[in-house]
Amino acid sequence: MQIEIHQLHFAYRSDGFELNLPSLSVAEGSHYAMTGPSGCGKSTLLRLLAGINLPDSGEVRLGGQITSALSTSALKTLRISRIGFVFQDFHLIDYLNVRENIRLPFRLHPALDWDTSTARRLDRLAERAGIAPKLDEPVTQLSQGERQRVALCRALIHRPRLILADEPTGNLDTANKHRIVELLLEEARSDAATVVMVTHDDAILDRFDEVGNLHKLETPAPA
Amino acid sequence: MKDLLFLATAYLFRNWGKSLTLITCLGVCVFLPITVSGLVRLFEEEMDSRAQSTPLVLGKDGSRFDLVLHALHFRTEAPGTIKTKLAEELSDEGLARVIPLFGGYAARGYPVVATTLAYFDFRDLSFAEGTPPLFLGDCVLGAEVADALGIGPGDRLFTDSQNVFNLAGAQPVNLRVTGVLDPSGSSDDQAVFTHLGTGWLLAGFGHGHDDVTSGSANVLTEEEGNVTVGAAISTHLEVTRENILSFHIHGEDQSLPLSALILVPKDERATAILRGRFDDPDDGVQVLRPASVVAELLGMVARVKRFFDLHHLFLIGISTAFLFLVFILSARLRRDEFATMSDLGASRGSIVALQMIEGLVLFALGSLVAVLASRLVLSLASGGVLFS
Repeated sequence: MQIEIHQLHFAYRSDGFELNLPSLSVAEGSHYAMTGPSGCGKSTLLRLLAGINLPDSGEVRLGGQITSALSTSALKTLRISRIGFVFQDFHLIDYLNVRENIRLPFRLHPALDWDTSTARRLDRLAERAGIAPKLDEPVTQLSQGERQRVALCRALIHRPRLILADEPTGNLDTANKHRIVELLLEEARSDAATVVMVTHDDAILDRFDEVGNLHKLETPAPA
Repeated sequence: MKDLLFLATAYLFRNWGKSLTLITCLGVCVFLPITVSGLVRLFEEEMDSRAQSTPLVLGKDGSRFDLVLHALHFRTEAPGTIKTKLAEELSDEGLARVIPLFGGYAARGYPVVATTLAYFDFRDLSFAEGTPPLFLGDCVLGAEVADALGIGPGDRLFTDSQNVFNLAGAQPVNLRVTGVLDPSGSSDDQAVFTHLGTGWLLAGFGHGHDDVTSGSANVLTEEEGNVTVGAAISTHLEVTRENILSFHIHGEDQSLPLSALILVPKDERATAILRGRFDDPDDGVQVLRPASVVAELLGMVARVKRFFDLHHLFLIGISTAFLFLVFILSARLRRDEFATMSDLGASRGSIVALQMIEGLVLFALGSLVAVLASRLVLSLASGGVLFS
């Protein structure tokens, strides 16, 4: 899924934060790493790309569709069926076990159909992420790293066309970090999915097709 | 919907303490009105059915409610007593079948009803085991009495002492159980039936004691047919084959007391004659149609029930408001969870539906528990356990 941003402006009224991005383009199927200092708006940009937030002005195009022109319902359908989002703080549901957390998107929207091949895919993803033995355990009993891997599996389970990952390796040791990035990029490659990953980790940047620093891409806010 | 139901039940199961509390609250809200309503209906049905099956009741003038409840359910004191002579006269006239009752005494807390065998025939009571009370000192137990006391034919049952401080008063009698009635689902299940003579023994109109005939060792003086005996004379507390002939009633048979008569008139004309005859308040006797008296009593019950209905409505209103508040507070506590679902792509409708399903599951479980508990209570009540 191709991403195009034009003259994007977004502000949080409560704390005066502003994001101004004149343009950004990520080609379909490419893997893009977004870096930048803390607080510059990387996570906000991901939320704008996912359509969770909508720009105040300018536009975000996903596969040619302008997110702000879509109805709430169409936007949600687009998000759940074609986008996989790995949240920085996992956003797992405590009362569900690992398997059900990964399956959650299928429980929430009729646009996704659960079948035996998806069930097999869940097992395979869990195996590759190293959480297969814990599939039936409550997520509350997992370590931070394991929770991160559950969140990643949940983002990949429905074969999204766009994967947005907000520091998915932040809680992992070096070995697991490479394992997870490998898993994410391999899955994306096999489905020709576009990846935008926010990261502070320079050690994994060489795995991406393109690296951008949001701070440098931004237009300075008018004084 | 199946997926949302899964998520809802997963949440409720994981938070079982909260769920159980809400199910209990909802259960109580449903249980109270349906159970009270059911109990009142059962009570009304039992009262009405008993009243409808009893054409007329005759007894001493006084509270009509006391007389009818005494004659039908043996639970209250009769307003007074009438003489056996009246029962004999009515019986001789042939206008109605006359069934005498003499009550007011108890055995282990259960009312002792002295009557004739005609009563068993009239109420269509059958014997689960044993025989009717044919002799002085015999008794037959209602099904619940036998069950509760764990006794049956061949066992003994002491009547309760009327006044433990009155040593000269009537003594308790050790009755011999000769039979147990089949359950009838009525007040008969909770009574002990005896021969009329046994009732009079309990009331102190008769007794049995050692030989006081001329020349016996107990006689102190003998003068013009009257004997004076010493305090050492022993009074029998139990009627046996050996001492039954020593039992006797003091006074004339026709003046012995009865607490009520059940009258079963031959026809409508006989009913009218009997009711008309005792219409005068100066007679000191009243004839009542139990169905009318019970209808009046149930009218009062209905008024009390209306109060309870209002009370239940109020309770349901308050509880609903509280539960609504609990749901709102719970939704606030779960804001992050719902935000995650929304961020993943769940519609607002799905999230609202999820909460509604949780509420419905709780309500359904609460109602199920309430209905089952209510059915249990009502079945115990219809078996007489709660009304005993």
